[in-house]
Amino acid sequence: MPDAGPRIPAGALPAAVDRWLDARGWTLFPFQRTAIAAYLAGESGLVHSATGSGKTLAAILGPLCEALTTDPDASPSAQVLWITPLRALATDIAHNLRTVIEGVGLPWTVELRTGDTNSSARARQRRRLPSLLVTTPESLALLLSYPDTLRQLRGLRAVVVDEWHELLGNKRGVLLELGLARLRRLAPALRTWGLSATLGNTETALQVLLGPGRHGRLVASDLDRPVTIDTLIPASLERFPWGGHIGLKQLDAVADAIDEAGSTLVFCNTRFQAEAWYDALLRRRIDWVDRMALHHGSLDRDLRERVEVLLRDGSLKCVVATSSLDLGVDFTPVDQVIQIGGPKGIARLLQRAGRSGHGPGRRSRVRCAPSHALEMLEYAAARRAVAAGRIEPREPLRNCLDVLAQHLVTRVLGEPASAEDLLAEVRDCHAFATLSDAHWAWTLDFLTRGGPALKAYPEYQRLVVQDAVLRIASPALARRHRMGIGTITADAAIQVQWLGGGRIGHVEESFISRMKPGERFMFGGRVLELVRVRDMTAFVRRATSSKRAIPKWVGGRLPLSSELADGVLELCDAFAAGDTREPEVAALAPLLRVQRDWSALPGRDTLLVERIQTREGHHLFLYPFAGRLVHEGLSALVAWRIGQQQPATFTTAVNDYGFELLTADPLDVDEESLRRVLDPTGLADDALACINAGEMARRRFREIARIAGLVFQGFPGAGKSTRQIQASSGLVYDVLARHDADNRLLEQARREVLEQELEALRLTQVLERSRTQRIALTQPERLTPFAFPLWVDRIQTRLSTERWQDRVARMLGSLEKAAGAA
Amino acid sequence: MSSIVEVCLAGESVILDADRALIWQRRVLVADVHLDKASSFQRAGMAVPLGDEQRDLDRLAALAARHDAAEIIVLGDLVHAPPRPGSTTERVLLNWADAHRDLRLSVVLGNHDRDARERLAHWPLSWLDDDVTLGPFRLRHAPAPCPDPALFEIAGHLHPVVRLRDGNRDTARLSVFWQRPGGLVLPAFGSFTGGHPVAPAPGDRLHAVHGGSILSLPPRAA
Repeated sequence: MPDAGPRIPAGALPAAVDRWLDARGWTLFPFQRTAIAAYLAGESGLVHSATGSGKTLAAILGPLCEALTTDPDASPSAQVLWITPLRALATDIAHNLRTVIEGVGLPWTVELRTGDTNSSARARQRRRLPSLLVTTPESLALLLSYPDTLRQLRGLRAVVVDEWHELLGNKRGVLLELGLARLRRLAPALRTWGLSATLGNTETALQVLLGPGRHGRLVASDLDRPVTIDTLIPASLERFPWGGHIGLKQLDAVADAIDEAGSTLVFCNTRFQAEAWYDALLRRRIDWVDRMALHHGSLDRDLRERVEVLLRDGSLKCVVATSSLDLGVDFTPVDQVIQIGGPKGIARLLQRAGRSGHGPGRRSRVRCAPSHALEMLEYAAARRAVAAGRIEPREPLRNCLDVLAQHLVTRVLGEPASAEDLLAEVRDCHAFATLSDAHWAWTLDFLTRGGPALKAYPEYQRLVVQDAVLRIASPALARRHRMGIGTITADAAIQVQWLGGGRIGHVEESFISRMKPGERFMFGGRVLELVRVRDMTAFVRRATSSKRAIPKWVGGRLPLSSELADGVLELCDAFAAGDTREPEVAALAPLLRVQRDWSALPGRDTLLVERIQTREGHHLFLYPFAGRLVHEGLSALVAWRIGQQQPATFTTAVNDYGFELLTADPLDVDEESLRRVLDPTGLADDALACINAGEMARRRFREIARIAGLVFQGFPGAGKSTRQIQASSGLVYDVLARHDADNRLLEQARREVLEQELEALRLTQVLERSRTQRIALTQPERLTPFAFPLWVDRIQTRLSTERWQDRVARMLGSLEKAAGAA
Repeated sequence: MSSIVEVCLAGESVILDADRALIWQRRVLVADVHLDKASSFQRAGMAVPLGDEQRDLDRLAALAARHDAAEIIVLGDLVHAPPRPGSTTERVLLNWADAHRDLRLSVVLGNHDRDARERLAHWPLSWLDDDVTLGPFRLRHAPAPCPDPALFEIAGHLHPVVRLRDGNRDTARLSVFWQRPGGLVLPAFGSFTGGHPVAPAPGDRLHAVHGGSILSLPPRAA
């Protein structure tokens, strides 16, 4: 969208800025001028671009120009807050901002405040904040809990939210919305600017950032470069694909591609995959040992920082990374980006592509290496979606009472307030603009009396009302609350440490809790052996045996987006119509032909259903292409509805393309019964009845309980005194269900299960769509190319490593034989 | 599945009830009731409701009635922390005791009951030293090596649970009675109590409870 707003004519910037730009040989782009002028005119806004850089400069130059014209020799405190979602990025951002600030000759101070900041720096910042503070949503919340920092924030001029799209749609974003509403009250002249990737709903992103009813400027980067998405098409393509080898079959092709370019970022979807690829690449190219690095969110900060510095100064040939490097800082030297495995979303792939080819006029290029043949369709679909400008939207969350409860305690810790003031402030953010009076009253009751059932909470204390003002009940509670701020992520982080000391990083508690001492795992490029877990620390030593047993570490498996899934079906349609112009489709032709000849191809108007009989029993495969979350829910629903007609025990497997139901006895399935089973009427009731919704809500409650302060995690050094008040969230859930069944947090857990875990909306859409689709019900003699990966997935979860690999190999052999020579 | 199993311990026939109790000679033995735990949470700012106190005492009375028992012995940790005088929990307990005067309540001192003997001296129950002998049994809170091999130990404290897989992807954590050659550890009785997974040795038996049922798991192979 073209911006018709104010622009700064060339030469109208403060001389110091012009000089600095000149010295670097830079000229500002029109979008940067638009953003700066809008800022100087007192506006707030959102700068978005699909791939490009220059957003940082667009956001920081406004405040700097203002300072240069008003007070160029001062280093005042708390002028700009810079909020980043990942604390791993904070160092780089501070470095970049400092370079600009020094470059234009302002004596501003720039500091970091994240969970990693040490206590002496924190104490100093409480007395005096730097001119510009780089921080995270959680650390901002902590800042808002101290009266002495609040006083300083009253003079704040600007808050910049970096990578806003990463926060939109999750609870950390909601926490930040509340923080921003608070800042707007403290500093009425505050301007809020967001930096974001381009989304399908950029207008909404702006509205959520600024709060309901406010107007701001949407600035689209004119730097968006053309993006090349191509695929490293394997020389020989498997017709029966499976994900078990995490893509390492492509190792040589990827290593060659890295050879060709000066520097490469290799993106993996999971840390497990990143570890395995790092290890494999190193084995293949041992001479890269000093010029290759690993980067993921679990590694210790020092290690990550070292990698980031090396990457910045161009001395690395290759970095294998996860989403920890998706964001933020522009690493100028990267020549190419390689994506391992399916991107699962268009926006994500675009953003990763944007890490390459920085600089005006250069193309971004991402080369994709499939871990699974069908993923090639995702690449081709993404390329077509980018060309057509179809990008996924991100839907913001509403009415998260757990985050609200946490924020309200933080809020009154900083400054006690009346319930009316609090409500007005809270409704001034998008997430709670529609908060009902009943929910508000419940939340206040929850904080002041424990709950509406008074006799159940006789000794409860947290907030008290004194002279119509809410405040914290005791200093001990204040301390404990501050310890709990920032526990938005559901999984507690376990420190990984050598037996002899020395921290390596952290992993999710859920990962470590599945391991036994003596088991090995890969971490930071080494094979480690777990010795013991104590006090939130996993002690490890280097594994001695060379046997490479790596437990599967799922972590962050995103479901395929609707937009990408539709694109994949579109390509199936194209193939059916004889169109193999996309190279990936041409390469997949042998696979797609086997699929078509043995069964049928799915399409936008065709729901494919396969019935297959093997020695294991009777398989029913459905391919709605709706992402794994929806398939989890749908498989349970279909199984339950079939089971209502015909008692049977089902075993299920799901992936992003479809799901499998396996029964010992044949199922009575025809098109008519399938239509009944897929009827959207009564979905909510049936879904709740068939899915173990109670158990899912109980699990979901884990995160809610932590955020709302219903469980206490303990903290380093707290020792035994806190053990008396530790209980699992599951237990707390049960107690609430027994004695306070109307508790709104239980209701929230059920709602989150429906909306997020089951993606009820998308599930409904799938069922609605199936009404208008043709159902292609086929009975192939053996597993088809689409069925095979589901079969592998199920086998893999049930058998030990050696046994399932044997079975996969045997099955593969017999299928290939049946499919004949390609 | 049934709601009880009979096992033979130290030559005596005892009943394990799915409601997490052992019955022997008209006595109900339970461990780790943790009354008033929710109050500790409430004082620390966590809104966990009371209500399990009444529920758990009612379960004790129901067990006694079902098995025609005259005495209830708690193997430690009757309370999570001694309740304040006049607190809801105290009122609930005193009312309950009043309604069940025919039942004798004895409590082996557990680690959570440390100050209870003095602070709750007015409660209508008898506090027993940790480690008392009753027939062939040695009753303790925390299991400990037994100096007298002729005695069979019955204890609590560990809150034993076991994780079971259902063949698919689900796992369930179930409370267990952990039967070892020289002793038995009872599951925690209190509704608001957690559990710790146990590592049974070959030859140990686990009796898992779930809902109203108890199931003796097949012994693990050596």
